[in-house]
Amino acid sequence: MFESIGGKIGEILVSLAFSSALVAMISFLIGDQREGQEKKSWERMGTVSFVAHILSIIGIIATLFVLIHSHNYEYHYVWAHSSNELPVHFMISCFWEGQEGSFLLWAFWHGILGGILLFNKSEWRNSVLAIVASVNLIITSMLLGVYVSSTWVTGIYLVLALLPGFYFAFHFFQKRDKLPLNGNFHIFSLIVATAFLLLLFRGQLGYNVSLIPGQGEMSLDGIGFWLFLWVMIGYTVMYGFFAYESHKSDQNHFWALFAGAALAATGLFAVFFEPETWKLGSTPFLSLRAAFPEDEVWLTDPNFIPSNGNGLNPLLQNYWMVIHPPTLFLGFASTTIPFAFVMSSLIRRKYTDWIKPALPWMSFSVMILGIGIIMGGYWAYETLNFGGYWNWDPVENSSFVPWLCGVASLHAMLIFRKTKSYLTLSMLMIIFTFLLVLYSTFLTRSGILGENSVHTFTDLGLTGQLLVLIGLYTAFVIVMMLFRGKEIPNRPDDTKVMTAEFWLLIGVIVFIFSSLMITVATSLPVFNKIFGTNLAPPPNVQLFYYNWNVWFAIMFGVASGIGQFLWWNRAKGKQFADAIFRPFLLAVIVGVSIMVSIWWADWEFAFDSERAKIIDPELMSPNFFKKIGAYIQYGILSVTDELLLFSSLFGLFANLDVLISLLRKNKKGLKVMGGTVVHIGFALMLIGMLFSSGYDSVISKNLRPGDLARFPEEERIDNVLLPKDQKVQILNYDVTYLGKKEAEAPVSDLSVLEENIVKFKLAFRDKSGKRWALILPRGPFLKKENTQAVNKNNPRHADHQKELLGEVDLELVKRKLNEDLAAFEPQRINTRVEYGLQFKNRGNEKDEFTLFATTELNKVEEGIIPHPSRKIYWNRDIYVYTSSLPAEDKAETKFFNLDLQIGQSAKWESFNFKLENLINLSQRPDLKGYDVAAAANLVVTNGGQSKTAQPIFTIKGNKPGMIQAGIKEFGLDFAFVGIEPEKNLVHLQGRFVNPEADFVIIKAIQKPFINLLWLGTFILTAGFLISIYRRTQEIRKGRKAA
Amino acid sequence: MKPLNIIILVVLAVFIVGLGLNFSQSASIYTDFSNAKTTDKQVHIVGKWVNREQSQYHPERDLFQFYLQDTTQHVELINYYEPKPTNFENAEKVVVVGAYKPEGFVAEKIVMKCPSKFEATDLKQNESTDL
Repeated sequence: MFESIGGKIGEILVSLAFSSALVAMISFLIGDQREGQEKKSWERMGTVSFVAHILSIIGIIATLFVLIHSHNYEYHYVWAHSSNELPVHFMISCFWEGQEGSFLLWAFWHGILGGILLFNKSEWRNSVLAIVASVNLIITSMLLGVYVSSTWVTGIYLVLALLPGFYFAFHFFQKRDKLPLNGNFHIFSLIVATAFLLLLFRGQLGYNVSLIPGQGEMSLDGIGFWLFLWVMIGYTVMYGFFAYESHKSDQNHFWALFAGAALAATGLFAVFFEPETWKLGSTPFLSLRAAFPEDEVWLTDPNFIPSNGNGLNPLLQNYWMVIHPPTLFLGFASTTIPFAFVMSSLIRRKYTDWIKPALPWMSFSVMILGIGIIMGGYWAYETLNFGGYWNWDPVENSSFVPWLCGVASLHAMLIFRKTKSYLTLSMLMIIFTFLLVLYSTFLTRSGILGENSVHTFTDLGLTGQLLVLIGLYTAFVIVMMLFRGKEIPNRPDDTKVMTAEFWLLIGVIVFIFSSLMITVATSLPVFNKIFGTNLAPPPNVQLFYYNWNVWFAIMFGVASGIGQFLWWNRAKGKQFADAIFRPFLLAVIVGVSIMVSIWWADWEFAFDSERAKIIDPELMSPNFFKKIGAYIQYGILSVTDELLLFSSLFGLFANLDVLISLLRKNKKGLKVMGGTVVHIGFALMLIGMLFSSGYDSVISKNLRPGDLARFPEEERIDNVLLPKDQKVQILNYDVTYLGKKEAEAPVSDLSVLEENIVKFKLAFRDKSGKRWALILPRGPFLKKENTQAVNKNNPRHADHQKELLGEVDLELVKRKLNEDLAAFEPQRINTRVEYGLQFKNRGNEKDEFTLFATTELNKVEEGIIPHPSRKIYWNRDIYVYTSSLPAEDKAETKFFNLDLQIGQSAKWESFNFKLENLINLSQRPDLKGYDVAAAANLVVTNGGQSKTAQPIFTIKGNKPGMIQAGIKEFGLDFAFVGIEPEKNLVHLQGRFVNPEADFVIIKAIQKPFINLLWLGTFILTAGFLISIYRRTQEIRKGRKAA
Repeated sequence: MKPLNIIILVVLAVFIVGLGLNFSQSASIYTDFSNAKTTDKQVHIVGKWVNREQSQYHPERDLFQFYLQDTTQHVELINYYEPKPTNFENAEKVVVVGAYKPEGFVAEKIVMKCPSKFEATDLKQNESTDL
């Protein structure tokens, strides 16, 4: 029953979430401006609607999950993103494969964070919640999936048609004072009623709605929606006018202006977007039929429901993909809270008090966003095959930039707390952080990145809506800053160089510049779109970004070291120089020893080909100084890398120094040292990045030095071909390709994934618990007694044919599989293949391991994806993936015929065959039913090795049949195709598949010190947690004191 | 205005100008083969994979050679010193990033545009490939 109404429930909940966000926003906003009893009334209404909003979002998620879990493929989202094969724990990932689901996730986090704020008792509560609700209002509007006609005539028509709405709003406010206070609930019920109206009349296919009589289909659906929208706009306008008339203050002047702008923007939007209909949002509860109205299948079977879904992208079927997107989206959502504080401060004209409550939120946001980004990197490192964790892909960049801006905001806020200057800077940075999150969403969702990125979603027609979203908030911010900017109290800046503030400011500037640089470079496709140019990203994108950002990273190391020292020590002049000398000396000693050890270990260079060209002549120069110069410049690391190494080490040791000396003074000092710990973590991360990305080396490279001489210089042989069972040396390892991993009996956990009249698809687990699947014919595996109709009640369901078919006997299947599993050739779920690669260290017998480089068939994108496999050492990773697969045509297959008399021999290629005799098998129990059953006893010799094969020939009635037999080691298969008794001749057919065609081409990479990156991430997170704890304690104490 | 603010503004201006110049120098362009011949710089060429049966991977040289037809219908042999990219068969559009070298066009990078699931409109076909 849930099948058909599930979607309806979902749609009702979406609409409820939308309208409750609207009510919450308005109520909180008004509540914030009122006093006394009236304030409480509005506040209560806001709280109730926000709780309703949270519950509806949770309800939407639950509904969608139930639909996915029960494989309800009549819904497009379920069909497009899940399948019968999908295990339950990966069903969660379906939420972020599609756009609708990821908007849902975003809205969910806003709901949760807003829910926490509901318990906040401070004066900021209402205004902050109003802003949060406004963001969620727009996000949930993207889930509405309503199509509306939008010609300009409609716009005018609507204004006229909805005058009653205006009238209502006007009178409501005129009589407001005479109404009882809980009259607010009239509006509340009006909104809820409209939300229901909007839904009740939604037909599955009635989207082509026009409100102009005679044009298209006029439906209450569209009318309901427009009524709803315009009543609310009218309400806002009237509120503004009314307030203006009664108070004449600048405050209300502003509101009137804002409401007018909103009205004008909506009107203009309706006028300029000329297509016949435009879409407001895209619902996750769209039926398959509405998604593909043109498909022919509806003509033949209007009730068609696919029996299986399109499946989830195997890349997302990874545990990191279960937690990375929610974390990242929590990071995105949490930037809204500091933004809401800034906006509140502008609305309420209280410009300084918000910093304290916003500070822990900002730290939280930076921490979570940072963790989310690193998780994404870790996922990419583990699952994708570009050989690293960071690719400077536009999508990665667009989540990184808000983080950089967040870090800048955090530091600017700290400067303000210390000096009371740079308040405007703090506010602007927080605003930019939020706007850049929106911009990031725009880049990923609008499809504008197209060929430039691998992560983007396809455009769902939400581009316009996303632009409106960004435009609205930008306009809001600009208007606010124009009206109120001058009121922000900034103490004049008198920063001296040797103060912590100065170095904090340097930090802020570094992060601003870095984010500016990345934003500009990432926005290339947007630039192309606007100016019609055809610029492409630089060919070596990594190098391009590196060249800029390495300087920012160097400055970070220096600034964080000196800044932290000054923040805690306050040492001046010579004293300071003495104090800072210790970490400086340590950095130099450690740095130099690392460089020397690199020289010894002989790691290769990151951008080798580019640099090698420059290095070679100079390094060979007879001039001693030139030679030394070349070594400093390129010989060990590049100059920038050397600077980065020294500055990160300096940052690391300076912060450690501060940490240790403070802990010595005060045992409980750690509580206040969150910032120091964060900087230690970040410095470690930088060193990890420097080595793992800058000095990783392809170790499967140049394996045939002799060959190299024959080819031009730029031909790099990075990949190595491994024939099965042959040792190849890579670095100091003997590497052997062991072959594909096969399923092992006994099998368990059998289930039918899909079936039709003749075949069924079976899933099972093998000995090791891995899931496999295979397609079997139905006939041999049916239960003896035919079962009755299974799903008579629901003829729409694909199962309804089962009554004609009878049920598959899984016990029988299990027995047969356990007898000879390999013969059935099962495939891993998602057609996964694991190639075993055995590594044996030549110098150390204990150092032996097997890696499984994996490939997976991605049904959605119709391609094969390799997954890397790696060996983790404390100081490096060995990272291996298949860079190419044995192509079908490489696996050469040849057929040949053997016509032999008993005792006769024959030769084909290098094989010798002898037909020893024929064996009568008609007494064998499994062959009893046949008239004739005989096996040819064939002995095959190759290279001194002899093997026997016994293909079988049968006759029943006058139907011949055969059972093939093969010799795996030789790659041979035989079929006994016939007998000519009069000539005493046996006809055999042979098939040869070259066993040597079983090979893999792999690429192996060594990544030094990548563990420092992960270790640094943990330390950084710990530092943030300490500092968030401290800041919230501060607020609590402050409240108690008050 | 404080001197520090002016300094910041100047630095910002220099930074933006520098970024713009650097970017315009290092940025590549989307173009076709005939234009690519006139420059040493690496370019992006969007095209279609043609004469598929003549494509070949030479494991001993780690070289994949194939023919690409650009938007002006010009067909060129592409040398790519990596194995054939996975998914290559299914790409409806191929973007090669590279330049002309003495031995011909050498691609440093290949980007593929594969058909997306949202464009799949044939419901039945999806059914039949499965079973």
